[in-house]
Amino acid sequence: MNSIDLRRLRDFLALKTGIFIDDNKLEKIYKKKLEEFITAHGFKEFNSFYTTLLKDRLLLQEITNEITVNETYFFREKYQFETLVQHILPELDALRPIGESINILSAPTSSGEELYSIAIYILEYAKEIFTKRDFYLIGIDIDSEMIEKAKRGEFNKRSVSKLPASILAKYFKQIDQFTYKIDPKLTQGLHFKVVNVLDHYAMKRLGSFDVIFSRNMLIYFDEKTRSEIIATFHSILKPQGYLLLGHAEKVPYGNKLFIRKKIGESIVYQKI
Amino acid sequence: MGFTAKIDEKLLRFKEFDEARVFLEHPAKIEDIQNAIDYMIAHNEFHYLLRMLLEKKHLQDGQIASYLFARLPCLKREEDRALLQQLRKQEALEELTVSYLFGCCEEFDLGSFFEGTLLNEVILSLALEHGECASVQELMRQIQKRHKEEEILLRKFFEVYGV
Repeated sequence: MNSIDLRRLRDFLALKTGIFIDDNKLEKIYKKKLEEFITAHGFKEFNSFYTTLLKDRLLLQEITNEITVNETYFFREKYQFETLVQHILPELDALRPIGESINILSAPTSSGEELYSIAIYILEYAKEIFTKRDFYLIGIDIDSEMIEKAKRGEFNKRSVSKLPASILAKYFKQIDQFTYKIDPKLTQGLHFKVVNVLDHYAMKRLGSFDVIFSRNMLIYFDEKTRSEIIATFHSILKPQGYLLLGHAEKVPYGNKLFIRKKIGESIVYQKI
Repeated sequence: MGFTAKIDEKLLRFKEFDEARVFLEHPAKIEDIQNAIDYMIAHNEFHYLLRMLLEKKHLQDGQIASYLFARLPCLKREEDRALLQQLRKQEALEELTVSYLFGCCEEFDLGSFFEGTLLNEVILSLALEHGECASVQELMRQIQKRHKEEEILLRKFFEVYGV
């Protein structure tokens, strides 16, 4: 692949997924990866691969997997959790009637690291609000094995590697050389369910939420489906509730369901 | 206070068409309108929905129309597409309708929707997002051809008048 082809591919992927790879990383890290990908899929030269990519949704999905960091771990992109506890929760606490619970959805939740991270952040950095209000936290995923894993609350070393030592000691117990189990108070207090975000009524049956975290899911869908999911999120958010997406994602062009805001280090979308 | 179990909320479901249509034909809370839209979508009442969107100003509110178009599947019937063509001409709904049409570019012949249209920022942005779609490519070729003809006329103007 020459530089022109490489940049063409990079620009196409940026349009489709929102993920932009700068020139430096493109040449040094991704060029080899992408060339191996093209060869592994049976293409002998770039043009035939590119022509196919423009039409083949599955191929696009596979190459998107290749360029995204798919692993999940505790406190991933923690600046969003900081925005939650420092800005969003105090705002919601002032806004919502006394006694009303604050409801937070993680969709998709995968093996639960995101939802447990949110819970830990609330316990550590939003103590005052936590003593005044109930919190309902639920994670959903289409993958039933992931949900079972989330419910078990057992994680490998890689998953907990970004946690400060004090947090690891406080909320986890090492049960063998490779495995950490989270405090049962959290596995019992949080909820996990198998739900497909594309099932509009299943999503509505979850209830209404103050905050939805949906990070690195929308990039895998086409524009039309993204709009449908965003509409579903809108319909299950309480007034002035918040939607937080992955850093490369955004609410589709022309969508008037949300106001885009920068709060702290995070771009967030507030229900109008 | 702490982590709690879910507080059950009643999920509003309309049992019949007349229950839902009230919330579309008269101004109402946005949640009720969204529920009514959900009912119409689930029951394939697309033509009625689009007709209401065309006729009722309160449905042309950005949030409501955005929600409606986001939930609307790509429509196949000519009668529905005719309504979409009318909606595209309403100033308040043009951007949303065009965005919807591009989102359905694999099902629609965009050329017929945008006959005579010149390039504008909305179309260009959407074309970039959906450029792999055959009907978008055909539309852009048509637009380019129209622009070429205009360019020729423009050049002629400057040649003749020397300004």
